[in-house]
Amino acid sequence: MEALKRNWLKFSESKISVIGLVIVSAFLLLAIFGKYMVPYPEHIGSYVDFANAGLAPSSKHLCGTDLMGRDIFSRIIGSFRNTLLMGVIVLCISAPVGFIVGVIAGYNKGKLIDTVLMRITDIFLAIPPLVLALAIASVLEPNLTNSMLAITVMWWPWYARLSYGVTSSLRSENYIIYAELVGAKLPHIIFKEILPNCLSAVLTKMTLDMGYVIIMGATLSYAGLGEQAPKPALGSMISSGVKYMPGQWWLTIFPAIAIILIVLGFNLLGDGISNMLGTEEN
Amino acid sequence: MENMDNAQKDTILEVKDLTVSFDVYGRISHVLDGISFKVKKGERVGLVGESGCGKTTTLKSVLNVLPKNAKINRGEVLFEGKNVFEMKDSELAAMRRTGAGMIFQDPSSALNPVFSIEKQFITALKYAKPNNTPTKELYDIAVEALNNVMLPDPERIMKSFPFQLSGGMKQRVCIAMTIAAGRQLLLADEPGTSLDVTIQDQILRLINKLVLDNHLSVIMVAHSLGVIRESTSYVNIMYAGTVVESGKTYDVFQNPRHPYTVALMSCVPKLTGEGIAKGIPGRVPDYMAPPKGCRFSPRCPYAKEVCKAEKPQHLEVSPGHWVSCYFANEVI
Amino acid sequence: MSKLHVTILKRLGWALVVLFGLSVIIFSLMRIIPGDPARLALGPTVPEEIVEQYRERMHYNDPLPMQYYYWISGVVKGDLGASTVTHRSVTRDFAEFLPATLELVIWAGIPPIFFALLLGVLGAMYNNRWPDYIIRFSSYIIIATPAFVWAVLFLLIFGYWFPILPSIGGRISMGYSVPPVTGLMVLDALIDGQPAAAWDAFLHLLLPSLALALGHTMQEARLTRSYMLENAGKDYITMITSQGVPREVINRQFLLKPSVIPTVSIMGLDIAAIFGNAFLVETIFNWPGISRYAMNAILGKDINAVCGVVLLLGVIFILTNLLVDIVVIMLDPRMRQSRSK
Repeated sequence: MEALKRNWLKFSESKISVIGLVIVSAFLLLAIFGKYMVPYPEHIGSYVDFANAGLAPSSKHLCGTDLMGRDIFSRIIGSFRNTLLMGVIVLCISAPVGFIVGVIAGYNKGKLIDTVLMRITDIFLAIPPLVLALAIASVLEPNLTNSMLAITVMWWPWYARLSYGVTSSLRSENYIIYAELVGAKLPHIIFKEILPNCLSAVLTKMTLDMGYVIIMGATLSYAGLGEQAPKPALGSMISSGVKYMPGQWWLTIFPAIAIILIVLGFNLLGDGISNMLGTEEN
Repeated sequence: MENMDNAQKDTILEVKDLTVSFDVYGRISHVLDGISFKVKKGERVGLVGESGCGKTTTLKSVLNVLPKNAKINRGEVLFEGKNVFEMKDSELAAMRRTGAGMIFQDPSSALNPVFSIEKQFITALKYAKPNNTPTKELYDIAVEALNNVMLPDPERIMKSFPFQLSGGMKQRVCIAMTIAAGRQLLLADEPGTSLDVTIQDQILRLINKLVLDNHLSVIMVAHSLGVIRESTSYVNIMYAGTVVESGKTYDVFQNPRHPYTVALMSCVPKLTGEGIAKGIPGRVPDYMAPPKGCRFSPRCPYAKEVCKAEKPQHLEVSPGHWVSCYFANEVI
Repeated sequence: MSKLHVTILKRLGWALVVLFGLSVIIFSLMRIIPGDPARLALGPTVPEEIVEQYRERMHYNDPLPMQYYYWISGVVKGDLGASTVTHRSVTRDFAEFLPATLELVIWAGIPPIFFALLLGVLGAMYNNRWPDYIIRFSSYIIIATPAFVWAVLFLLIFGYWFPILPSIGGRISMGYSVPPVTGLMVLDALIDGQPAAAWDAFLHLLLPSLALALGHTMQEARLTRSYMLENAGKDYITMITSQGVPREVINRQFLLKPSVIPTVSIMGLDIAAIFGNAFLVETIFNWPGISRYAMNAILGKDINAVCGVVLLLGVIFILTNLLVDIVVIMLDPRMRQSRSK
């Protein structure tokens, strides 16, 4: 309890980080319960009402309606769920996978398995991130699962690098050697000795990465490779609206603002977390 | 009056009631509480105490290079009569360039990793020597200084980067840089602590030699009594940001009067085999909430009520030998 | 400096290995696609015997390692196959579209370096005063905005509301003709002695490069600032301050260099990443570059083109990283040698 209070004090010193926390919490809340909170829940998904298509923002439709007559505000909120899902799943797969690869390589530093694993990692890192994701997504069906797959494939190497660095430098530390001598098995060493040391770096990275994954997902869906209409996705909403600029600017601007706010929130939160955990190390 | 003037001329550094606190994320750490001592010209003064008692902070105050979150609550540091905290920028610069210089505890972190020794040395000299001194001349001064600190092949050292040198070599380089500029007061912050014991010995001998050869004044900071005994003629014993005892090194070692000094001396294992050294029970005080009275009182076996209530004054137990304790004349 | 040369050679060798691995991955991708590549290339109406001949010629019936061999030997010779969209050799398509993207990347990557350093230094120097707050606040928002959103915003603001800058007109206005020498329009115009054309080309470059540059420039500024602040408290800065060296000298040299070195590698990564971001920005601005070409290839399932592009971008990425590594090695003396002490 004490530790929790102390951490909260450190974290809340930076007002900006608290703003980040607020934004992210709002995002999470809306992602989970949004369906029940929006004014037009049936507009999320396929719905057609041409009579009300292309309306400018008003009190009835906060962000206006799109060309199918759907309320943009509701759709934006409705898209949060999949956005969150994408971020969570991508990170929950790529971070552990990358982490384990890096640990195994770092633990066996100098041996063949180290070289092989890290070289594979380097190859994946050598490809411009977006390009790989686009390439993978392009050969598969455009939907949420496949874009998640594409992003996961290119994301794990960064965590491998992170854990590799920590593991290989800790490898020669005495307490690891002692643990081995005592007979501790590898999983124990990983979780009890290595993980706590990179925890703060990994957590910070995961939080900041949420923002990047969301951007990546939006980029993919903008390119037509992720979630597609009629399911709401911020990127595809922007792309379908670009042609109608500047006349019906609300089609693109509001989803764009949503992306910016969400990513901003995660970035601020990530900074706050890194301050909080970083100063702990001091 | 004249005697006093002479005495003042004799003193190169006087620290008066120096009280410094740090702002650590909103909480105040009262690190130094009324430090006072003097350094005469050519004198070798020691500053001893446990880790964390404020020795480095004291040294940094002399040069006014304290970190941004430090605050000088009270006190003055008079270098050749002028208060360091009130000096004009030009005076401060002059003091740092040719007046006093510091030798840091860890030479590896004291040297900029991405610049060659040559670059760092010549830059340091450039501002210490008269304007427009040609670079070639500065280079020669640097090489000669490296020679004086017993470094073989100074030209190669100049071309090297810090990571290519051993700890001992780096420390010698730092010493050379400080002395080459012609500074009169050396602030040696545990110059051997981060080095091998044998190298530590060499470095200390080197410093002693240079100090004697060049008639320099030194403040030698250490946490080892052995070092103090060998390298100083006057010593100040520090505890938790206060000076608890001071006097000629010989006097203090022969006749320690402050309970802390006594305990410190008895901690050192004696070769005569009087048994295992006792530690001093208790812990250093919390600088965020230091004791009101004597900072040693929580650990002092002789502490009385008055000790905890109010800070003791300095008592002179014998000529030149000062102790900060109510019962200085009675202990032992 | 032969140790330096050895290090560079090692990196180069390593880059080749990575390229090889990349090509294997690309190739596998190509073969994962369901469907018959021969059929896809020739269309549904062509008779089966012709398709079978095509298959034989393209070695589609051979075992995969053989196919890889044929493909890679073609690539090395410069033959990346034919695009099913433009019906020309992919290599020829590259020659036409790559320079436009290169010019964009250069403008989006290099001038921002100075801005990033400048803003970073300013932020550190005025730490906790208003210039710092402005820089930090704006950088948060700028970083959170993906490049394609900037592109859309710029299009809206400068393309329609305040049309003071050309937006979707391509690389240069009608009426200017610039003989291609390097493929870089501004440079070519200057070489040809047409300063007005060069200026016009520059204006066309402004919006897309800005959209690409903003995010990473602010990120690098933030990094520089935080390294400067972190290093400012280090012992070696205290030491040089205590030696009486003037503050400006310390800031400009002794504090800047160690703070900039870690940022340089990030800058390299960012420049390479711009290639990735260029995809959407080029599409939005209708910029005739390689990324727009690739987008069309991806949407049109043009396999040869897609693989060619991925390979090309991979090569560029690897080369850029190599260059950055070399720059870092030259800046940071510690990298030049393995720790022999």
